[in-house]
Amino acid sequence: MTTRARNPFRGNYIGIISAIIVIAVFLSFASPYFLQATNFINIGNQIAINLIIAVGMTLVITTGGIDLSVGATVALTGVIVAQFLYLAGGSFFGVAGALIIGVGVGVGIGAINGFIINRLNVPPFIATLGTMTAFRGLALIFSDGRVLYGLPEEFQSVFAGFIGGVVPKPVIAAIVVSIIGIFLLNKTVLGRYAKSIGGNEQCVRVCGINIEWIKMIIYMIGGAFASISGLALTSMMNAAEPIAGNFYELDAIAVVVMGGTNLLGGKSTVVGTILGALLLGFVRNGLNIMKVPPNFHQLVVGIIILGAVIAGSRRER
Amino acid sequence: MSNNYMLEMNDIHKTFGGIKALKGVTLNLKAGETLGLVGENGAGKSTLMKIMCGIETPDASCGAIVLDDQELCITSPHHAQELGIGMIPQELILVSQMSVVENIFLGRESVTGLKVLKKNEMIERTKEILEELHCSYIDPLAEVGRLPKADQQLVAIGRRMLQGGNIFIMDEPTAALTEKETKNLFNVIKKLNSTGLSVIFISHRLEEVVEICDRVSIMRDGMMITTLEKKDGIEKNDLIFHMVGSEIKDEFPKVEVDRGKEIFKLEDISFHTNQGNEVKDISFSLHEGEVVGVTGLVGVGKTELGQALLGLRKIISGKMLMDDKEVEISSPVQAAELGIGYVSEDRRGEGLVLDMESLYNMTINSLGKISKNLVIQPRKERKLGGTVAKRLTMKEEFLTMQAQQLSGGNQQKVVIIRQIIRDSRIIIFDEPTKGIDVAAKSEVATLIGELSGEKKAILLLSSEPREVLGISDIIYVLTRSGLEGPFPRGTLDYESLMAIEFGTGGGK
Repeated sequence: MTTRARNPFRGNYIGIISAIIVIAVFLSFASPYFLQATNFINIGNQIAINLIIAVGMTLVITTGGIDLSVGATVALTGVIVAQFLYLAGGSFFGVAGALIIGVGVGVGIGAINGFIINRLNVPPFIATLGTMTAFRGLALIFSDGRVLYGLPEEFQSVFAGFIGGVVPKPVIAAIVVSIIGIFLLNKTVLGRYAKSIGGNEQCVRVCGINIEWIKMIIYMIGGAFASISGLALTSMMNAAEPIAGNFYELDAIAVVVMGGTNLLGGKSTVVGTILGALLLGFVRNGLNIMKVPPNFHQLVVGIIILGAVIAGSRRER
Repeated sequence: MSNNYMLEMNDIHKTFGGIKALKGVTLNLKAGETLGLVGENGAGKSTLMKIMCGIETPDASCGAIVLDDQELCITSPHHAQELGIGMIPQELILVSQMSVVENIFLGRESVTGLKVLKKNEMIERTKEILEELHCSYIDPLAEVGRLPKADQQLVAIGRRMLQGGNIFIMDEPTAALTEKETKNLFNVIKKLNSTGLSVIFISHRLEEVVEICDRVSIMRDGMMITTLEKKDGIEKNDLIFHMVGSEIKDEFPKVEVDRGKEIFKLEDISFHTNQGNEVKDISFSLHEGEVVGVTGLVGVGKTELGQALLGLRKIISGKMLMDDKEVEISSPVQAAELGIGYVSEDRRGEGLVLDMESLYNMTINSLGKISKNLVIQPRKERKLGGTVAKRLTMKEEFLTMQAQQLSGGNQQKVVIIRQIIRDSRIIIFDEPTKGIDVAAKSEVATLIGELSGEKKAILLLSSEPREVLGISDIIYVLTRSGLEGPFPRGTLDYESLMAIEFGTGGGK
């Protein structure tokens, strides 16, 4: 019998941290571009967009659920916000309204997912597979299948640019979202319930806890984070695309699992998710700057994801 | 000289984690007979049968089993099957979406050289088997899940027959059958006997045991007490006498508490059991400071009664009153709001979040008490959990251990502490001492008494007669014909309780 001390950064991250360091050191010698500021800004923005979604995904997976609709949420958020901005313009209220509406889209989608999963008893995988397709469809309808360009500059300035002259704003957003995620999961009643439900849903139900309500809130938070990612993406690109965020859900799930969160629920770690996002970001960036032919990228990324997950599951045993 | 036994099990011992489940059991089986095997829950029947089927191995593994005059050890379920020993478990293992033929031939399909199923041949063989079982009315192509339970049972027997066994073990085969279906099953058993096949018949329904069995072996407390022969005449009361034994230890000490006011009342509640039987017109009330015990045989609907009070099972009719006001409980959330707490029989399945710390398991339904603005205050949590754990003589270091690392007794304490912290007014205990060792049993029993002393109302659901007799103030017996009682403490003894459970009449 072992007594394990309570550690908020639970788990063993040595493997994944070493992998990140090895890749970073390799790239800094192998490519003159890697250590350049512009490249780091690039990596930072890419990782941030993924990580913001992945933190929400961590919460959802903690309950034993999954949310495949986050990529579609990114697109639908962008499209709705763009259409709103066309009407409202770049005034303070226009931009503030756009941000509120944007987050509202994600919260709404989360509520719909929660309703379908809880009330209609559809397994999360299937429920969000359905809403993923449906909301992608809505994004196509609301944009008429076109890219929506020419958003007000004031909106662009929300996420484009830097804080303190060096740190890209999306990175700041990702840091804030991560801190919120760590706090929710480890310090709050909601996080405790989420872990318990993921560990043994029936036990929590029998205890007389309103599981449906908790899962609903978790999906709403997950949706809200996906929307924030969508807002950041739209603002940075100064355009909304109905096909934006394609496969983002898979990247998010991949980094969550690479970080050591149990896909079956109960055991999860936002810190691991952050490390997973860093690893995936560096690998993607490395493939680009090393000029690996694009046709090979998917294969390499797939192998890296599998390798990280297998290494993680061996360590568990 | 070799005797006429086809199977002998001699001096079988089996220990589970230090607890002796079988203490030198001997069992003999003749060819072509039906041998009854009876005993209370936990007497060791299932362990013995598992050894016979190769699922468990006895302590001193070999030589103790003699089959057809050959000493051998049964090493695996597959080996047992090859030897002709087959079990028909209570929960039938059939694939309900598949047809009768497919189920009977599952895993041993007849195929042509090209691995194509010889469908017609299998259907013909199935018809023959069904004929032998007096049930040619069953369509070989019917989907098994749509057949009545009794016919499913026959399909399971048919499956065994195809495997060509000569010893069939039937565990509670009549539990889900009507009287008429039972009669038919008995005819089938007699037919099997006449072809030289032996049947071991395990049942709690003693009158059926008396009717069908040629001999009855009685187990108690991991030992074989005696074997009675039908030709000498077997009475049901003899069976009960041997099952119960004489000495009853004070395993379940009683804490005396004065009865307070009535807080909860059931009026004519009806619901369905897992087997689909209707349990009708359950009425009783719970008072502060009182332990109400509801007992009855396994499968009669005790757990389901607990689930009904918790909103986990639909109530068909009747009403529930809390503090004289009618209440509706349609979910555990409502039950919890009314102050009803539940200690499940199934600790691993619904009692605990196994890989979470014990402390967190204790506070899971009281997070409001240890948080401020929805933020958990770890110190407060630790202090609250620690205080209650200390009262229950649970070591501090257990708090940070995962629930699954604790012993059964300590796991049970964790679940009980949860209800203490929650301050539930009514606590429903379902088989609270199942699977925990003797010392922990008496601790839990004392604890239940102490809780009643804190003005809590206790509903004890238990199939362990000594536990019910030991700690209940009022006893009810749930039987297939309804709820018998109330029997105030002291008006029932072990044998009269058993007599009611087994349906030989109320009291003495």
